[in-house]
Amino acid sequence: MKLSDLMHCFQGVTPAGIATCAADGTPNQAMLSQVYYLDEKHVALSCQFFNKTRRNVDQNPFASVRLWDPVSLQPYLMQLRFLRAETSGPVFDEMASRIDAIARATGMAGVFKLLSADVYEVLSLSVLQGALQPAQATPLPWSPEPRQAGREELRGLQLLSDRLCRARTLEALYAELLTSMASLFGTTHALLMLHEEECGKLIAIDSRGYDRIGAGAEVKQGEGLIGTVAQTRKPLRLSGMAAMRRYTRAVRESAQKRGVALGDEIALPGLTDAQSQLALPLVAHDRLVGVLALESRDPLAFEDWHEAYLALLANQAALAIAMLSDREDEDEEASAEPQPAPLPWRRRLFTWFAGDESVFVDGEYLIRYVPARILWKLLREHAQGRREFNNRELRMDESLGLPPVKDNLESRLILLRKRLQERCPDVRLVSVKRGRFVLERDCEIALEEKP
Amino acid sequence: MGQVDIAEFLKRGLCVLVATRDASLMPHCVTGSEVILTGPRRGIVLLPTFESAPALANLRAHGAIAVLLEEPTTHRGIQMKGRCLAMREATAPELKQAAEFAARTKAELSAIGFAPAVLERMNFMPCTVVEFTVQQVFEQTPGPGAGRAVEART
Repeated sequence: MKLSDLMHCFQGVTPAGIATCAADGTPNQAMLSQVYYLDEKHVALSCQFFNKTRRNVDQNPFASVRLWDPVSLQPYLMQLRFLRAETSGPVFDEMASRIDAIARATGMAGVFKLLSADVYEVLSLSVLQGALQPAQATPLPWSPEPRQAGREELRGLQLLSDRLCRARTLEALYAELLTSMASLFGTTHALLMLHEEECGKLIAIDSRGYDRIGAGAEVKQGEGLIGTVAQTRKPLRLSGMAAMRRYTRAVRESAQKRGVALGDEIALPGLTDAQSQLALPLVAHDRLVGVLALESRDPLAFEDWHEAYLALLANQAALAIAMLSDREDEDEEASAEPQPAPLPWRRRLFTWFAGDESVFVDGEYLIRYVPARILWKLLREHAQGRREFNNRELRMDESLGLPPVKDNLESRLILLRKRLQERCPDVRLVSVKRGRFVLERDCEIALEEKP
Repeated sequence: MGQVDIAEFLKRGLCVLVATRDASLMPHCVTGSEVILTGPRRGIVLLPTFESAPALANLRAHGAIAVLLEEPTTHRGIQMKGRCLAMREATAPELKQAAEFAARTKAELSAIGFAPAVLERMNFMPCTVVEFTVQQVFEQTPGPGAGRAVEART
């Protein structure tokens, strides 16, 4: 049996047990939240608190670790020898990123952090025969089908690549990317966040699988899984999240008893009962474009190969987004303005709050920053009789504060459309030609400005 | 020093892990089927036969034992350290209690998402009884307080 045959055991879905022995011969038994696979001969354990286990292996390097398969509960026993504690380097960085993302997501930043990545040599590995009664054909708690090695990854990559290349607009590209995650890779919950360089935040632009699109939701860099991926620009995968939440809750309660100050618990975005998450940075030309976040209720939904394989897709998507964002090809001629439809009785009140540069509709928050400035300009000019607008005039309007290069105008307009679609479907921005759109309405529009 | 009520804790659904060591100080981790307090600072732990041979050999030769009790839904944990006094076959009442202990453990594991079909396959029998003294007790809930010595409330 090879260590890599036990990859499910290294996902952190089930905790592990570790026995060590002090120099005076006193054994010690403890639990571990996760064992990290390094290669066929080595594993790493996270040292988050300088505890008895770590003090013991400093004196006597041997350890005995018991792992459980998270699907069958088959136990395995590894005899280990402690080699070294790493406080920098790729192993430390990867483990620290994962732990930091969990800590930030649970308000444990600063308490729940990696002190060292403790590297152990695997001296022996054995299956504990007899621990389970003979298997019967019974349903398992989550997707029991084996992940087939012969899947059509290449075909999926080709299809998605093709779809991204054919997308003529950013809106179509975002839709293809998210829809393909489900249709080609079976990932039912996907969220696309774009990086707003001016405010340093990530803004949700579109999603699939959730009750609502969530366009406009913000995540700060370094905050939670998505913010950490944006900051480090490295993919990050969290599996067995229910187990992690239980573990961090125990640490949190223990820390609170000891008077350690903790921040507010930040809810992870998306599914409240997500069991695994994978977030991929979208980087093009060394510039962070955004983050693609995937979620599943299956604790083993994302494995090692997903991280590498979907990172390829993310790179393709990032390049496609960057290329389409840079395109200036607008149709020159204005279209013949269609006659406005008769207005129904409904009235919508839009309020511009100059202080925080936000627009509210009927007293409810709609949008802020640059998309808010764009919307306010459109609404004011619409009130004077205009209906059709073009991207070029928006780019030329210095009052909107668009950066001179990489202005993300298309994405900001998509965000604006999605927010209107969710919060005020009576007002729409409808594309009529490339780079041109009309403001359509099914209501009377009233405007007011406040400080 | 804080206090823990081990007898009260043992009424919960718990996972049991036992550490022993050999002459070269190589530790060994084995699962336990049940823990019962048999008197002040004394207890028994039942070790399933399918994997207990190295642990029993270690205990025969050196006697040092650590018994960890952990509640899977909360990760609350207590560790007892002591010496092995004797090893013997389990009595009928002990086996009955072990079956009840296993049922509570499986209920806990069920609460964190394991299906009954998976839990039904877990095998704790037959087993050997290890009698041990409880010389020290430690808080074992993960976090900054893990490993802190506590007083066993009797």
